[in-house]
Amino acid sequence: MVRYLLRRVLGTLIVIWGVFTIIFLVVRVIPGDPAAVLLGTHTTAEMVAEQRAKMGLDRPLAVQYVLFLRQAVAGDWGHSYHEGRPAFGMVLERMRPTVELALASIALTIALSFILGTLAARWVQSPVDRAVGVLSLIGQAVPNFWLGLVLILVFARNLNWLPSFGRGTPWHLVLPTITLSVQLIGVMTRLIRAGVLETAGQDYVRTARAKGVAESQVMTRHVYRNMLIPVITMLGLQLGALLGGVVVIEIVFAWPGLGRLIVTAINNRDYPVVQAAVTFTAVIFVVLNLLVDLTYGYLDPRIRYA
Amino acid sequence: MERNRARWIRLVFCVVAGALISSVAQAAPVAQPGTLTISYPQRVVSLDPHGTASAERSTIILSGHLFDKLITWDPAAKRFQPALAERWRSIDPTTWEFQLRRGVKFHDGSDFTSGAVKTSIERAQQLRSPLTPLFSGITSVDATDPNRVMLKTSAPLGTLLSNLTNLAIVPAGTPPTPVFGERPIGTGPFKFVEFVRDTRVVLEANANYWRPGIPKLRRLVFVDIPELSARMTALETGEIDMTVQLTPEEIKRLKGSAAIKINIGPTFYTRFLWINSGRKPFDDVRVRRAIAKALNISAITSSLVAGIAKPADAPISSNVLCYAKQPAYGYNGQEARRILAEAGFPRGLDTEMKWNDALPKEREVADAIAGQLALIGIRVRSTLQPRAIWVDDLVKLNWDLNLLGTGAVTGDADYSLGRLYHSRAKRTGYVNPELDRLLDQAAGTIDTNQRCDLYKRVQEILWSEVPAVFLFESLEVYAYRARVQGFKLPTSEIFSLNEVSVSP
Repeated sequence: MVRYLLRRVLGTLIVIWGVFTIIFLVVRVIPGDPAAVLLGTHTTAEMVAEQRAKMGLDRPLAVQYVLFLRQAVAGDWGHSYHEGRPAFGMVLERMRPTVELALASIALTIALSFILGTLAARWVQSPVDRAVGVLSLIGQAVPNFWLGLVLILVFARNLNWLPSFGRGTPWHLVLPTITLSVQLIGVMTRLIRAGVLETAGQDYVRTARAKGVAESQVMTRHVYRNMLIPVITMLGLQLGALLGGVVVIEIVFAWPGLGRLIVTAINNRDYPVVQAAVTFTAVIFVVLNLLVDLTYGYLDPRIRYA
Repeated sequence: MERNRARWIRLVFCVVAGALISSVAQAAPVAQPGTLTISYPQRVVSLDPHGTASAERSTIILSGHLFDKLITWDPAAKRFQPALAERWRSIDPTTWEFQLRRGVKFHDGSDFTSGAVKTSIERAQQLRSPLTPLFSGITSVDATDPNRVMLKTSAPLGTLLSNLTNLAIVPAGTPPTPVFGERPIGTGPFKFVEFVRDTRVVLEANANYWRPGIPKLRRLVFVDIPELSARMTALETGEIDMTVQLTPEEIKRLKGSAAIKINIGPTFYTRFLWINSGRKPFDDVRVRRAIAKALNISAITSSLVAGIAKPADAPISSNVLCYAKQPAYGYNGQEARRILAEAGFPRGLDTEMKWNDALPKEREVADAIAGQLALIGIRVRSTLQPRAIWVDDLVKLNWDLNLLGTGAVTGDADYSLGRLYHSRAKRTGYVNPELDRLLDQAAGTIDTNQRCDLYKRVQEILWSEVPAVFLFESLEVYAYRARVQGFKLPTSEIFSLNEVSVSP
């Protein structure tokens, strides 16, 4: 187990270094001059050149790379060209709203998709099953920016029940969470329905029922537990994606998340911020993957790590 | 089985009912007494009035609430008005004296003295921002007397006063680092409370403001809502009290609404099509004139940008100091084709127009221009560029045609004309020694009437030589709820809420 962990951590570090190197190169390869965007149209070519030198962008790429890497290892990811603040601090600042929205969305997804998936599986081929099937298909098909705007129109403008933008109270979370979750709920409901159907037919479930185990126990101990591996894998991937920021939702609901930070930074060619944010997102993704892999062993004791 | 089913149904019912009840429990958003919430479309990058964001409109507007200037420009009276400076005079063509207002305090309680003016000028020079050139002509600031400042300029500087209307005064000793923008301190009518990026900027009334009765608001909140339709919804629900920069469609939709007032005002902003005179075939003035004649500008302003722009009748907008009205280009397709043929292009020509979509309806305007030029045989490849690439190409003169606009930040003709069309600026590829001479002479003239005579000549040359087709003068659209009282249309896009109040 320890050796497995060590191997995985080493692998993680290599992945992160690779991501850093790729993003370092990619932001510099795409055309556009950070100094020019920073100074805007009220500027001259000379001022741009002066600014480039000030940012250290006139040095050879290899020198810039070594400098950045050395500082990054020491925890200094440079300062944003535009805001002058530490890039890594700006990323961390965005993590709280991002995590809030991601967790709320995952929680809603788990709750609703378990209920809907189980209902559909229990009354398979019934009108309930067909309704759930249609709903989850619609959920998967609806573009989320459109859904977001419609929800704002109905619940904020027409009914005036919920705030239409921003962050602050739990009420502000409702509309973005629903918008973000609908597609996920569609996918997960189908996954859970299939899982429940498959496991519910297994001999051990029939045995449990025959023993007179209460239905709730049958579901939680025998059915759910045995179908969780694909569900956890899917949730892990989705959580990783959500924690990387969800640009469209963040723009529609004026949510100050990581996605907007990254897009603004890319548009501004704010290299330090792009590097810090993308590398950080990669770390989250890799760590989540590791956690998901470790959960397998807990869920299914037959899985051994070596 | 029956019992189980009942239990499932109960569970689902509880979840759904709970969700519904909890949503309804949230009452409609209530407007706070004394607080005005506004959403400005451009992202606030920094609150440092001297930093790299200092020419951004969002920063300039916020600065107007946090800071004071030495003097302000009064377009109605056509004269400068005292602010932190009570009196000023030019002792000789390169020396100016400013008598400062006494008893003014910064938000941190420190006194406003000549040291603050010295720090502010030096900071604006050292931070190398787009506004730095406005102050680089000042060679020394003498602040030995706390209530008097003596400025020396390297040469006579006709724009000194109008440039100073853009110098936000910060406390003496403020270091030239952008950190100041995180917690700005000024003497203005509002004090800084909080700045959460991409979320909000909160200001509160400065109870000790030196102008009595100002501000009338208790709190002023700028919230960030990047998406136009979300911004409009927030205005209609009352979550925000005010916003600006509506599209023609939104203006049409909201006109006649009882809850929301729409007000359209002038700006210092001019939108134009630059023609690179440094490149063939645009070095031939006939080709440039053919382009100007081919464009039906009023057709665009009456449809695509209706209500947000009007046809330009000078290289600078009509509220800018020294504006001189020019005759219309006279749209005439046949004439344009004839001039183009005379210049050696009877079969037309192929070219490229670069643009960026930062300006309202720029895509539609670009399409219209490309379409209109096609009618006289100028086949335009219209290229939308991401801002980072567009600005880079723009300053490197890597374009044939470029669609853009600029605001005369200082409200003075020099800001647009001297900065952009002097051959030294290398912005348009246009070189004309006569124009350079006039611009230099105007910049070095202190008497406003004499300066305006020179700028009038400059505008005539630019109009007839067509280094640019001046398309529109932008208009600013203000939309606010009925509770907002006392909002007066400003003379430029830089508005102020210092004298606005809100009814409960």
